Amino acid sequence: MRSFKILLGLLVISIAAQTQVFNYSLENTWHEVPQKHTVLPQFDSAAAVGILDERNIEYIVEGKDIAMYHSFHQIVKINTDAGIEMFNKIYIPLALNVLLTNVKARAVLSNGKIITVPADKFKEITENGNKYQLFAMEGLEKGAEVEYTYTLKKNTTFFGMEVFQTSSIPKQKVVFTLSVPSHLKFDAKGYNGFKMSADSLIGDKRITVGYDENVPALEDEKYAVKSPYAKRVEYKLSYNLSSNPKVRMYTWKDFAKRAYTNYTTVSPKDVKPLNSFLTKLKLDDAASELKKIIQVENFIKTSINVDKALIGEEVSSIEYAYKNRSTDMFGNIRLYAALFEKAGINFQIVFAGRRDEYPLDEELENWNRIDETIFFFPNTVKYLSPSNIELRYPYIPPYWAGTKGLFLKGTTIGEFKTAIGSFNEVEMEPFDQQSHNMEVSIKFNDALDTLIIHSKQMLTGYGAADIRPIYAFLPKDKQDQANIEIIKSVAGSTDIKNIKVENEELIHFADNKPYSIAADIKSSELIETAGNKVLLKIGEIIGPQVEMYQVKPRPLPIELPYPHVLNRIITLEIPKGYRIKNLTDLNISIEHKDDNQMTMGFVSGYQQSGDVVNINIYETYKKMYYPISQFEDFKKVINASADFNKVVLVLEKI
Amino acid sequence: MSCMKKGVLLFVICINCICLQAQSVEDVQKIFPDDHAVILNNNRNLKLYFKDKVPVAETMEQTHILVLNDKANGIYNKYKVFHGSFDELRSLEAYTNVPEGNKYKKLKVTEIKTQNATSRGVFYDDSKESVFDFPSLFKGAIATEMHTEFHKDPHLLSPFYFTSYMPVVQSKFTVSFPSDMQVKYIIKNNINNAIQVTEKKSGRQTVYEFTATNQKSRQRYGDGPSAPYYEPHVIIHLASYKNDHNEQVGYLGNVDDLYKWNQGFLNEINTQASPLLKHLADSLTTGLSTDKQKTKQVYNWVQNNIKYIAFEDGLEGFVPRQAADVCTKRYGDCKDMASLITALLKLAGLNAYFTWIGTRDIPYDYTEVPLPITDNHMISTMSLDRNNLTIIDTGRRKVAVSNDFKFETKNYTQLMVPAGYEVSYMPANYHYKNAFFDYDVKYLQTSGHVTAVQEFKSNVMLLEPKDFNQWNETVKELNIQQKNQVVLKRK
Repeated sequence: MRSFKILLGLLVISIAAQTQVFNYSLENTWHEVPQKHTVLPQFDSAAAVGILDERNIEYIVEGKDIAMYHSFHQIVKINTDAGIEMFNKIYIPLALNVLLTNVKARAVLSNGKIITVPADKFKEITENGNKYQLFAMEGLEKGAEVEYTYTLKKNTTFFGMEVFQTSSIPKQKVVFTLSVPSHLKFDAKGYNGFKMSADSLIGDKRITVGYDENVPALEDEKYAVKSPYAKRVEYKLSYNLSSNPKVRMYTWKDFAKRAYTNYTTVSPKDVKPLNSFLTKLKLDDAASELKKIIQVENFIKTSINVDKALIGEEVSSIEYAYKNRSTDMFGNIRLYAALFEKAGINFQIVFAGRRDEYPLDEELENWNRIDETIFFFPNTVKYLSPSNIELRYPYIPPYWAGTKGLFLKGTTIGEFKTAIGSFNEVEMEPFDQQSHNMEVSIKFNDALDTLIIHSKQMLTGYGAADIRPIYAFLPKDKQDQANIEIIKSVAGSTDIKNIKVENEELIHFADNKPYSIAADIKSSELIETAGNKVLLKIGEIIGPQVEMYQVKPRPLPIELPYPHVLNRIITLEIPKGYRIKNLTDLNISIEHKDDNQMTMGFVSGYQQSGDVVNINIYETYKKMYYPISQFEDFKKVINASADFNKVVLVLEKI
Repeated sequence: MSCMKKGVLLFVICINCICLQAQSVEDVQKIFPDDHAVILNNNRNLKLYFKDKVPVAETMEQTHILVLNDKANGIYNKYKVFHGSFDELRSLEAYTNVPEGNKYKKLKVTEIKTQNATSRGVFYDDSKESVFDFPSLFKGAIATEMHTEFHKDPHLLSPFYFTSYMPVVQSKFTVSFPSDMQVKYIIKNNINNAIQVTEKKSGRQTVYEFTATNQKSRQRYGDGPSAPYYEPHVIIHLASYKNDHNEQVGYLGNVDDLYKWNQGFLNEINTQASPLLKHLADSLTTGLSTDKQKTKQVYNWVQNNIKYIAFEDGLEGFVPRQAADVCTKRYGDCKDMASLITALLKLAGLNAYFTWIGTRDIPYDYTEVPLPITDNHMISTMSLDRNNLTIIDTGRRKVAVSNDFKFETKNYTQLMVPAGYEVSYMPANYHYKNAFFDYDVKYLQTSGHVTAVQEFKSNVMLLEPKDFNQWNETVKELNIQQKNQVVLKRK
């Protein structure tokens, strides 16, 4: 809480948010004698309810430095046993060099009894490189309140984000304050309806507040991403009024320049190892740019171990990478950039946004949002992800495409090399490049208790992205097991012969030749009997399909990892002396059209000639995003494939 | 015991003279063609000795990994050494020898991070892991890891495994101890007599040596029992020793020794009277007439009100907390819940006992392996009648007191025949039984309904590989049966 106590009661800031106006007064909210709180009726079925979620960010001049303090205060009412389990173990994440102060935690029971967590019960652990302070709340029971507060002194950074809406619990009151020395001016922005005030000058402090109430939990939904829709605030330093009030600080353009220099400068020590890398690479100067890109990528991804957790001053140097065959994330990008440069490949470094995370905001330049780095090649108009060894050009993790990224276009000003940063769309590969296709022919044996199947599954683009790494990274016996698993999905049987796998190498991401796996299968799984009738569960050939029931109203639009198409062709030979009366059950047609163009759909049908039935099943999702207004149609398409799953053909004696 | 120091020194010298590359990459590839890397040799030296007249122990371990192909880089770089308050890490060194012409270039590991090793379900655990990355794991490279540990309490020595996450070409476990100590070993899963044992005496020192060669990497199987059930390993324990007065002192030689050691942790638990507990015990059991009712009531109260949170900090892993504390805090681990249940039952006038058990993850039996590694869970046990002990599990799972291990299900599936239809075909009733399983299905037709009653009984907890065929036969048989459908016809 620190210096806020001095201000207590002095500050009242109003926020006008559309029709509603509320006043927020800054006061100490930790009461020695706890106040009684009531849970609103709309939240009384939640496992626990946030009564208060308050976070204060404060920048304070300390000598020559500006220190950053981050204070949290949480009050949570426990409604159920599950609520106890959620809040009886508290973790405080401590980033590197963070100083934790003013930790207080207590349980307030419904009879008013207060049980404070003793100081010696706070423990520190380090897990996967991250430090935490942890403690267990004592005496918790239903109806109790958990209350804790703490302050972190952080390494000063002039950017930040606080997310107030999570999947775990609803919150009745959420409060944010940003307090900075009066000579600094920050921008702070609320997202998804989180209300923010303009800043107010109070004494020698400039204060911005944010507020919201009755924030529901953002629950998991099928085919949706949550983070972009969470109520949150982001902030960054924009002006230093004491030095230059007109120049906006920490812009994206500044970032682009700095990053470009960091990533593309080759130090004198790196020159020799870089040339040694080039010798090993054996690039053919006459080769096309595309060929060179693929060669550089394959070389680095198969010979350098990238370890995010690598520590040390030189671990990002090309010299270190050459000597140890390992590097960190930063060093990895530098190595790519240096080799592309040497190979004469035209490239741009791109900082990718993420559709499944908090997106990059062109308006609010929060440098901390920069997380993922990819390369863009203007000549081929394609991308490459240096950190994903399981992917190859032009495929990057799917959620990084289809949204805006910050492109660093290199340029030369006199002798000086720099970059201009601009936001552009990182394009998604079109839907017809990602396919999950299959061709299956089915015959019965003479006893009519086994199907004799020849199946071929063919996957392209992202469709093959989960499969190809199996062949690149797993030993032979595990590959064989995986083959069986993939083929088993066709007819539920492991009686499999003549397996033939093609285009399984990672390199085929570039030419997009389909990964294919073919086999002969014998299966009795799809046959049932009913008296003298034979039932063929033909719908299960396409593998288990998701079925959607939406009981609660759907708040989130539809977001798919990537657009795709599924083309399945089944040829069925009807056994001699039998007929199928219900072939029309195979006809399903659900489509959604925008401007007369089909954007998603499931269409299946058949043709019979003699004893042979040809079945075509076409399913597609041509976009990765559908607005909430199209949710009902989306659900119908998804459920159409689940309905097909249930189609059973009835074979009767003629 | 002045001879000890010399012994330690000798032991340091002899471990460093392991010759590096006994076998070439090609030789090893012939034996393990599908693997990217192998452990060329794993040598652990365990030395027991006296320090301030008390038995202690020290481990020196050295592992060499030979890289068979370039795919190992990126997969096998990360390496972890586990240690904790009972196994204190004294030194750790690692490097990769990268082939350069006819020589090796040594690349040292410079960054070793030590952090908490988390165990599933444990909130705070003081056991640690030291993590690092081997550089340059390319074909022909040899990665070396060496560490020493001090065991301040030799009750808690770890078994030695001859297999690992990659194949092990050669492994050697050496145990040395002075003649004043009696050390025993138990060899488990010595398939095809893969483990060779020698016992040597030199002066006042005895040395056991256990070796094995060319062990395949560990296989994991879904739904399989834990590794100690089938992986070859050797368990070492100090049975007894002679003290200063030349008296034989029992250490961990039999179940009595283990009992005494465990009992030592309980001496001061629940010795003080607690009005809070007395009041709780009374309020829970007043008016109940039978011991069984009282037990049930106490058990349910603890299940409903005490949440599972485990702190494993030094001796906290062995010592239950005071029952009154557990009651106020409303949380605890299995030992704490056992403590509270035991205390409440005693206050209710019943006989209850702290009991260590090993879950089925542990294949050992106390009579064969009278060691702390044989148990991993504490419960409360009480006698409800003279002949039967009732076991009260205090774990997280809410299992009724009367539950036993037999697995039995009975399902009713009822179909309401739609208006305008009639049943034209009903499958026949069916019954299948063998030593392990019992399956029965009966179809009943009542007015407007078809009901299938299915019963399945399983009499096995551990299905051995020799019985897999029978299991498969059963599944096949039941599959055929389950394919039979009811047919409805329009009237």
